[in-house]
Amino acid sequence: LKSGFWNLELQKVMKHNRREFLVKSSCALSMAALASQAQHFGMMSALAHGADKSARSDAAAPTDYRALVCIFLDGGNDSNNMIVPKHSDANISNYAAYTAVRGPAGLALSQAQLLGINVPRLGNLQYGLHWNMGTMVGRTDIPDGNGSLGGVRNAGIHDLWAAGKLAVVTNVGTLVRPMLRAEYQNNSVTKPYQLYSHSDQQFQMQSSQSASRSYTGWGGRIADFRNAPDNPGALVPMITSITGAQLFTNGQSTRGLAINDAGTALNNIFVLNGYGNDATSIARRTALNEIRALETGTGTPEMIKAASTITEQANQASLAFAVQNEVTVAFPNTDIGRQLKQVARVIKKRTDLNVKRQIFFCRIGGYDTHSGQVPTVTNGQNGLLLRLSQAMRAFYDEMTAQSIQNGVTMFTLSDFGRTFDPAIATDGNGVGSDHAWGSHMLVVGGAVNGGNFYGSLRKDGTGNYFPTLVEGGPDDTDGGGSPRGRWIPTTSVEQYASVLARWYGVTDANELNQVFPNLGNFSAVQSQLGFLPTT
Amino acid sequence: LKQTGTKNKNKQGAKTILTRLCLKEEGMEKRRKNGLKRLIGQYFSVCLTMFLLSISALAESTDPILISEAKSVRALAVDANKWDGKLPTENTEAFYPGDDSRVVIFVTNVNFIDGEGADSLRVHAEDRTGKIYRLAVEDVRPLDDRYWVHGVTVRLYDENGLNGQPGADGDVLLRLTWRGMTSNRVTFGLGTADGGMKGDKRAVPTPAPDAPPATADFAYNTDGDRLRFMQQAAFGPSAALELRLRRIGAERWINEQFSKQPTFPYPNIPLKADNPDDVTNGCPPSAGNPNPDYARDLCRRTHYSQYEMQRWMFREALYGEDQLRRRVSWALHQIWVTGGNAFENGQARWHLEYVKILDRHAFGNYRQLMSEMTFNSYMGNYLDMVRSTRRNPNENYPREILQLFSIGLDELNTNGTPKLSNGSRIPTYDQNKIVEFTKVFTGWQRCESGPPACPNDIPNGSNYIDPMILNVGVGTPSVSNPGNHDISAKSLFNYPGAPNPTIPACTNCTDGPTGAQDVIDIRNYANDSINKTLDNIYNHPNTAPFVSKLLIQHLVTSDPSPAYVARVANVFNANRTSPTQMQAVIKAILLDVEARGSRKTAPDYGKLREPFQLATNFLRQFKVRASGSITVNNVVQNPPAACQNRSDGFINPQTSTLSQNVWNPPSVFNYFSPEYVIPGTDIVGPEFNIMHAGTAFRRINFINTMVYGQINFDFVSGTNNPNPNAPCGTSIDLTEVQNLAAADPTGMQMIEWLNREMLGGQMSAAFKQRVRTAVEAIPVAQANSARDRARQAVYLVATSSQYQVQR
Repeated sequence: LKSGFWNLELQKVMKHNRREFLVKSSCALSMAALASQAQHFGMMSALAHGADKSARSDAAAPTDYRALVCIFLDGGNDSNNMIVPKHSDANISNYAAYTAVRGPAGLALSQAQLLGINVPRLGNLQYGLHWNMGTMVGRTDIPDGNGSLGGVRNAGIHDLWAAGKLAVVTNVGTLVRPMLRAEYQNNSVTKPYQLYSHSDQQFQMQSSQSASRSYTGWGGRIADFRNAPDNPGALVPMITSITGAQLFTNGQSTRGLAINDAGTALNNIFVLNGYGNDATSIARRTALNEIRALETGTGTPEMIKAASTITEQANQASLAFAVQNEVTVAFPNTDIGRQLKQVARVIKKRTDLNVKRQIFFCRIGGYDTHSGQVPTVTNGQNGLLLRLSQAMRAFYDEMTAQSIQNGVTMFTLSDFGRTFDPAIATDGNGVGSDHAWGSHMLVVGGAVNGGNFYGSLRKDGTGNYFPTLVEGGPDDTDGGGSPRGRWIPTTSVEQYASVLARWYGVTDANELNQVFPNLGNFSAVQSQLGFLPTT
Repeated sequence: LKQTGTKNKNKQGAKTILTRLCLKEEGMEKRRKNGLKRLIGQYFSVCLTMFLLSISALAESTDPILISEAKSVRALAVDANKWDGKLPTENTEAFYPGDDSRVVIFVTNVNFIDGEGADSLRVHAEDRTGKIYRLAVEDVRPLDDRYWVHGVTVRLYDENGLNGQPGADGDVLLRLTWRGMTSNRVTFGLGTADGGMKGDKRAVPTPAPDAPPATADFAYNTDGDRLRFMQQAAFGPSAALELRLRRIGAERWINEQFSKQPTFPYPNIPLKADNPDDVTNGCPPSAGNPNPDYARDLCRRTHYSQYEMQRWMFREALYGEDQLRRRVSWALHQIWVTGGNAFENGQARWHLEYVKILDRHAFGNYRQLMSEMTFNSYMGNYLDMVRSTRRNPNENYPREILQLFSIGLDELNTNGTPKLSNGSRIPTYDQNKIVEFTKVFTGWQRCESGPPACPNDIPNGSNYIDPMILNVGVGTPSVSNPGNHDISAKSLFNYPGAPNPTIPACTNCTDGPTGAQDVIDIRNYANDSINKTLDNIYNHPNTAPFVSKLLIQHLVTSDPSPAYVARVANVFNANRTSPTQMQAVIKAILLDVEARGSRKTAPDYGKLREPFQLATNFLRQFKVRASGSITVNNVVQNPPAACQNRSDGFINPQTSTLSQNVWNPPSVFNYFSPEYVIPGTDIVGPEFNIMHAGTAFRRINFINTMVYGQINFDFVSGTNNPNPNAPCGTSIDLTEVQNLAAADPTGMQMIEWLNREMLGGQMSAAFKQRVRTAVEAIPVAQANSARDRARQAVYLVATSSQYQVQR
């Protein structure tokens, strides 16, 4: 145990109250036993999670463990350079179409280097992952000491495609309702609120609501419904953010737990400084806890109670995370590597935490590549995708080491995609791309029906489950003299999220409609979104 | 709503109270002994203006009282359709919830001021699962037969529906709040009066009184009010501020503040080149390139970071005499948001110009602020106006000036509540309108033609100091190429009485005899268009309630009653053309009945202290000073004499860990959203947006750092570390508390002092007992017991959730 205070609590006989009991219990009992004690006292749902918006208490808690791990690519990922046609089939946008637009400015990836993935849905045509998303074995151009590797070389996510554990959901984005190019241009269909604005598009990807600002995230709304039935007696909230309080994690009653990345051990995250083993410290800590108990009690004004409830959440988390759980797989020491490593540590504690369903939120910046997108092998987006792939692979391998890979699904979100047309930088930083709309998402996990593209056709039934790589073409919003290739999404974030949510356990139609109130707008769209089983 | 029956009595009550208040504010013992005549004289001299500003309503006697049955705590209520204007004689029954179901409940002990009606009241219902619903209050009127009791018409329907709608599930508890004070709670049957919900502990029946409740005999605790005021109008209490307020009262203090300028000069940070390596105007390596290169590093810290701006801001807040300007300017920063670190190599000088604008207009006119901020080139950079041209129009600034800086997304009533059409909100604008407004803001760019036109322009540096100017972009504008500014017609807002609902296309912009003439015509047209457009926005009916509510949220309370918003918005509108409009608005906010009063008991009153407030309030409370001595290599060292024992203001690293990096909000949506609803409640609590489990413990650890330690100064020896980030450090002085601890072995003197000075006298007996137990755990005979007892008590009070909330 980290804090001497907890140890001392065991030795000293003090006035009993429920919190002290918990404190002692955390040392004396296993965490699972603690959970049942906590449940017995009826504390957890009230204290750690706010008032529950419990829906159905009749269904039994699930027996298996499942987790959703969201990786938010902050700034708008240029997925046009993450998934690229490698084939030369003339009936569908091919590598020539890609390089015709992106080649002259130096933004195109080399055809030979693309890591091939065959796509059954598109007649087994070959596409390619960005060449940094594969194995690091033999990559002499990236030496061991390169910061992007964070001290680890692994296989990346490329070979998970062939293994059927990596799927690509194409051209996903914010949508109020399905839209064709003509409808975009004549304003006959409502567009997402503040299209192309970072903050608004991030909010919408996290809330899944595109018509206006929303104050709850879709992760939070799932937890509003599922926490009580799925995680009775849990020691932590259903949602954990590794990157602060985020819209995605807020529901009407849900407040996600925010923790540091793996740079801080689990048992060092929630630590109150300044407590020793002396009587003065003990008296102070006792009073601190008792005052908080007063302030979470009935009769406390709500505004004060809210502050107290959050502090109590930290206190509960300090008990839940009192012992570090280390992972066995080596994670790269990069920003995203540390975030996913921390997620893996928490998942490893799932039994102690008494949770059956968890949602995690990670966020990694730098994707707003107006310029400097491809300056060197490990800089710009090249480096971002390298670090993403390496970290995702380490995480997948760790889940496999924990034998839980079939219960954990990792997926990406991003503000938006970027213009197919290169942005010619005037600041000397090299070529990049500008804000656009639809982009491709990655889904990785043991349960994923991988090795394929998923997505929807256009509203009118045309299309190929992949945007037509032509500026001013049928998927481009832009008209006029210099269209830049901003793909109108064919799958809405709400559709994408709903598949993840169904697999997670939001199976009740009523719940699904409340979590995704706009989903009905897309029912008419032909959809090939079975990238996860529905149960 | 007629209040004639109660008016006279109100004023008398107010006068009594006000006399007491002002006496206390005078704080001079000898005057207290004078006769009545003298008292009245003082009352008029000191408090006349306060009185005229509707402070009459300070006649808050006690909390409002909801009327129950004679022998139970069940609400007396009647179906609104069946109400005859009198107190019902029969006992209540159950009522069915629904959006068209209305009941009348009854309240006494409320005295309304003119214009104060249903929108000053909130009624909440808590069901047995703990869910709380905010029921729509539609009307309030005095009873025909007893003017001291009011009937309140309530719709059994949650007006914002955050927790869904109440069901016909049996008893709920009703609470009424008014001016930040709560009533007792009474039981109320929804669907059935099933007795399933116990009343509050110690609740007693509150039948309607047969005579007006006495109002004269209550103690007005000015300490609590003054403490709250020092947090609303300043960065928390200090001994000097408290003394001044006791001496001259709130209103005169506010007037005095209007003429104060920053105590600490703005940091002297000349503009530098965009590239820090620039040999002439950047911070290039020093000659000989020593390693580490202290001169270069100092230059970069000063110019290419917010370090000096942050320290200046903290020092102003901690020690400045211009507390009110700083407080309002800080609030305006969080409305007109820019981020100092938004750009790579962003310069402090860029941001400084923006801060000066906030300061300049904090006590000025909002329209002038809109104008100067619109032309500010740093704002232009932050929200892309500097790169918006006719051919590549950028919607960012036009969008945000409407959405965040002036009118908001939905049409509002004067009291700030959304107007509804068939139950739905009415958007203030659509995308087409954005396109129209965007045209006006095209063609402006940084002023970079060198002095004298652009006095602050330097080679290789972006001039984010001088206002933007229109860059027509072509020497000889023509109809086919009029340049960067869009000279076509614009269709702006067309509300009743709107100035400039349209701006016609420029007719003389491209027909001049020479190109130069056309360029001047286009510039004139563009300038005129922006002025017309800002008038069109400023005079929108939304602006007053939208801005007023934001300012109230930043200064006083997160979820003000609509009546409060309306009172301030009316002042905003009445002073629309006044060069000191903001002074009237600030007075209206700070002297309002919902801001003042001895204590506030409503569950949703107040605001979580944002990290900056938490840090500055706490530090000021305990005489913030430079750090104490530190030991370096076994030698005791003290901060340099130049520090004059004052903090250096290097405190941003602390607030940053609490998610408030001063001057660097993560986006134009500020450090936190003004609309953030605390999860699990129906309470708007913007600052809760950045409070989570992680920051909750870090708040406590900040208090620990200051109570049990300090922010050390960086010791400088020889040539080592010549540019310390913390030249003086920061610590607090607990001597006063320590003396109280030494004087009283029970600790109660000290605890009562902390209760009064930190919590406005609102500490419960149980809370005091917990602190006392912890204090008494330190034996009096123990070494340093007074110091340790003082620390123990201060830590526990400052880390309490009660202290986290300003109220």
